[in-house]
Amino acid sequence: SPFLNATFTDDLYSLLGTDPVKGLSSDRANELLDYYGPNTLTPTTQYLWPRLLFKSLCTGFSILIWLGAILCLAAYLIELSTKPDPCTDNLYLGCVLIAVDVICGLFSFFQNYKSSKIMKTFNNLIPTYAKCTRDGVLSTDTEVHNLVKGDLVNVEIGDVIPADIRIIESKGFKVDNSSLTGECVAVARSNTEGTPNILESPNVAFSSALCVEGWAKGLQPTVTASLTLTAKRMVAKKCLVKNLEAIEALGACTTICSDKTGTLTENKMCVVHIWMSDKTYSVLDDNFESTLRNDQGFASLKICGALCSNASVSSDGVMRGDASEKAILSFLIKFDDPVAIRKRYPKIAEIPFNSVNKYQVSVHLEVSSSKYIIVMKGAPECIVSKCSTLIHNNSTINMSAKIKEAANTAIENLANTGERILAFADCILNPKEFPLDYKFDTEDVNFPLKNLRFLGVIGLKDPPREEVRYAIERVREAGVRVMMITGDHPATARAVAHEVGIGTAPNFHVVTGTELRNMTPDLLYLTLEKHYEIVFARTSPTQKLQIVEACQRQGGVVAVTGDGVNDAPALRRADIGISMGITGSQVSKQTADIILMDDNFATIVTGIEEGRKIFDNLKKSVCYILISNVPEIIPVLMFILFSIPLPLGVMTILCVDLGTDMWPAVSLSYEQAEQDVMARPPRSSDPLVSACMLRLVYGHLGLIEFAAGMFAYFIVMAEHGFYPSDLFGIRDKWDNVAVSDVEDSLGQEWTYAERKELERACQAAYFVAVVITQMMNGIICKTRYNSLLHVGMKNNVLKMGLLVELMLACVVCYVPGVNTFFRTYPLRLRW
Amino acid sequence: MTVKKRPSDLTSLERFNLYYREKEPPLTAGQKFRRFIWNPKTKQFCGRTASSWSKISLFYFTFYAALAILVAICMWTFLQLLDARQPKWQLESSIIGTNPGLGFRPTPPEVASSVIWYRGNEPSSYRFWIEELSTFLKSYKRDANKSGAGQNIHNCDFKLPPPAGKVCDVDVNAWGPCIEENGFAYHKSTPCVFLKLNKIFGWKPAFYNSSDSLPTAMPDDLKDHIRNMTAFDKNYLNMVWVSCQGENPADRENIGPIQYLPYRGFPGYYFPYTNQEGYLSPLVAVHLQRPKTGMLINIECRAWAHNIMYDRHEGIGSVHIEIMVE
Repeated sequence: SPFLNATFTDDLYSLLGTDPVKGLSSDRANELLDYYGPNTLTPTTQYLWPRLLFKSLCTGFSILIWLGAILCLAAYLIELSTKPDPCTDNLYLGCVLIAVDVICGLFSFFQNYKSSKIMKTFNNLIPTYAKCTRDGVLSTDTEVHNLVKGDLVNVEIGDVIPADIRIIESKGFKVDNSSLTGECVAVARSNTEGTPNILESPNVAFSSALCVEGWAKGLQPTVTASLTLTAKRMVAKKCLVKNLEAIEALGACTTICSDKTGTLTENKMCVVHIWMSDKTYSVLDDNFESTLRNDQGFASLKICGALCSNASVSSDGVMRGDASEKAILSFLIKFDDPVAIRKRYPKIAEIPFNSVNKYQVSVHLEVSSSKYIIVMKGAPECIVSKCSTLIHNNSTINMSAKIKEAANTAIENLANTGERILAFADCILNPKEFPLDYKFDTEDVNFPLKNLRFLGVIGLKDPPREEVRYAIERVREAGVRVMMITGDHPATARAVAHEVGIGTAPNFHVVTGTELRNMTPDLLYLTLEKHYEIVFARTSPTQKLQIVEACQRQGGVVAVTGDGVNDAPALRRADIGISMGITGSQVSKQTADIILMDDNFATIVTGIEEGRKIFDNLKKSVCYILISNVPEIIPVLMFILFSIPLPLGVMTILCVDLGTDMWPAVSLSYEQAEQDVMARPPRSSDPLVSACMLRLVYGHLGLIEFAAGMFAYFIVMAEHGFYPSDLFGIRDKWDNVAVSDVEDSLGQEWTYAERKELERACQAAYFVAVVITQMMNGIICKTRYNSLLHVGMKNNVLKMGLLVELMLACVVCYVPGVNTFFRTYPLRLRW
Repeated sequence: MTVKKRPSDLTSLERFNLYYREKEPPLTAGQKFRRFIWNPKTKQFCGRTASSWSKISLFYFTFYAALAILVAICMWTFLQLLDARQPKWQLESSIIGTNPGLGFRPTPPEVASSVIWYRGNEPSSYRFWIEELSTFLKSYKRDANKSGAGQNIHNCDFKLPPPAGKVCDVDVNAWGPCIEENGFAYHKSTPCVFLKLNKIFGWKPAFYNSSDSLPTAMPDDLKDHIRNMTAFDKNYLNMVWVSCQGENPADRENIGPIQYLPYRGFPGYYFPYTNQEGYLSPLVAVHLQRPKTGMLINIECRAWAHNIMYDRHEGIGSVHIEIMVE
């Protein structure tokens, strides 16, 4: 393409008809959008629905059913060609198997289709906005697909490159092209000369489409149905589930590693205290303004504060930027005009804040005196160590050890109240050393970062969210451990943790990032085991990963919240990655399993509750379905071992499994949560089908059902003259077509057709007995822990399900045609 | 960069934990299995201690015992309510209905087969059939003067139906050549087959009340026979008639003349069957007098009365026999 190798960017601008400062005009942008179409990738991975349908019809178990059906039909055809009057059994069975397969396939297809549609809408819910300059205004909410060729795009750390872009201005810009090239090393990209190979050209960043993991696995219809159902419900509660299985995992979650800012707190910082030269001032004091009106130190602090902030104020007073910067800015606005200050001190160079340095530095030119000034903002301990002087009573004095100590105690005191402390320092550069044409290099620092002048600290506070305290209380009742991992000062962390109830003991354990760095994995593991209430402070995002791994080593199921780019590995590593809908970066949102649309910790609690409920209900469904296996298998064993006429035919087995049991089983997943769902400890090694449940199902309920069925069977037999004692061993004669006179206990003789009719009647009786006991079991399965009287019959779907089950059984037995098909018999009421 | 923490930096508890924590060597699969079978430390056998095992077995024992007893009680009460002499549902209300089927003896030994096959000149090949018939007819050879079942026997006639509770005798000697002493005529390549009507409790045949109103489907020779008999004695109308003929035209040629003994049907005085003590089904011996040898002959025998429906497919009111004499 022609603009790749354009060394002079001016050519490029004219080529694209755009302006390097103002960007495109919106009219032109709309024109281009119409002409080129939206900025999206053509979706290629999407299967057309017939293919999806075919896939859901021919997977796993259903292939077996197809085979069975084909065999049945083949047997029927062979019989048809060899015998004059073929038995229609095989034809019926074949048809039923095909019908079952098609119905199951359609059902799972329908479910998949529905959930994929829901997932698609979810993906649309995740906001993908780009910062784009049009008409000279930078707007952050241009939707990515509206970008056109020629738009000016701002890309910051953590953003996904919204389109294929040509870089015109950059600072430490590196991109991860791994999804395109497979390289996992971030590649530096800047405005330099291009190379012929477009992929390696260092001035182009590609729009990287992160693949959403293929979540749609061939789950059982019931499982999918209930998960989809819950996912829908959770969206209504501001909790967006990207990965359906995450809901279920959330129910089993034992540990939550939560962020502090935004999640536990409101993420609305405000300045509460200021410390300057051995004195603490409270901003909320009435005479705060008057005391500091003529203080030179405060004036410098104001300048430094205004310059060190990337937050901007638009003309209508709306502020954009980082929470603490906004807080500082809104604090400064009360006293001075930061915009005017910024105009007086234009920015020359900048090292943005990062979690390794823990400070940010920028160089400005003081226009009035033509001097360069360095301003620095950052974590107090880091700033204090870089300072040698201090502004005190309008004069600059040397920073003695005593003053340093005093500063540290003041900082500590402020931090202990849970405030976030930011320290400010500046340094006016000597114009002789740094003449006006001096080139400042931020990559390879060529200006002093030490021996600065200490100005003071600002204490910011982020009040905890109201509902969080109660939410944490509930989560802890549910046996889930909540840990706080924050980049803040240990004291801040401690105060907030105490306030929201993460640490209840007066001196719970706080581990700082430095301590963590010195710990061996074993020691971290031991620490986690020893202290239940732990807060990690001053941690870097990489340490988050370390903590998550240690928690998982303890055998826990870990949920991690995170919003930054560097949280992505921890989110991926965690069993449940939770990202924030408002503050979360694109990458974290794409890695996460669950996105909290309102950034609120309390929403996680709802998630846990839903997850546990879903697991409970799934267990109920599985239990219900498994019960009927016993009365289906034992009759066949009886038939073989005791040679009695078959009490339950293949057709009736299919009828129970796929007809009458289906709806109640699915409807059990509509059950309400049990009362104590949040008072139980999380299940640790509780699989869906546990030995205990199998024992209950097969050993108790199943046998009762079988006993009921056999009782019905024997009654029908005995009332027709075959007493139970005479039934054992009768099979040889019973199933012999040639024997037309089988004598019963009362001397009556039965022809083959009559016997088979009686057998059908008995099977129908057995079937009805099983259906009725299954209905009872359905009610039993409703609750696992609570008494039925407590729970009541509130589940209308289940009620409907049971009713339908009964009706289906009646239809199968009584409707002529259907009953011959299913080999049942109209039972008379008096039996 | 991970800096290893020096021991002096650790708290005493941490140090204790680090050094004295019990470390179990990983077990091999075999060891794990042996440990599972018998764990000497916890005295567990298959994952449970002796007391746990006894408790769980006691629970299951009581549970299953209770279940079994419950079912047994239900079954017992139910059986007590049943009459030991007559079925609860009879005739129309029972599945057995009102349409008796036909049965034949001897029964072939193979499952689902109705072929009687033997060689006329080879006694060992037809010994099975003779023995089969002998055992079947054993109950028919009884002495009227003996106690027990014999006391119930009444010598019946069309004019002398049995009084309530009595049964009619079946005369073994009336079957002519088809008697045990004669080897049921098998050795002469003229086998006998015994037909019996299925017993249905309380079933009474509706006889054809006149020789003129016989169904059109009835074979002509049977019609003639009925006319001859009724001309001789009107009481013979009270008979469930029997006809046997080849199924296909070829079979009809091969079957040869047939003799029915003692009558060409079941006399009406044997009915109804009410589970009387010592009741024996009336039999008709079908004697094939000259069957073609070396051919498989398909025979269909039908019972004739107003209330016996006929359906070859379902095997109602008829029976299918195949005979092959070589």
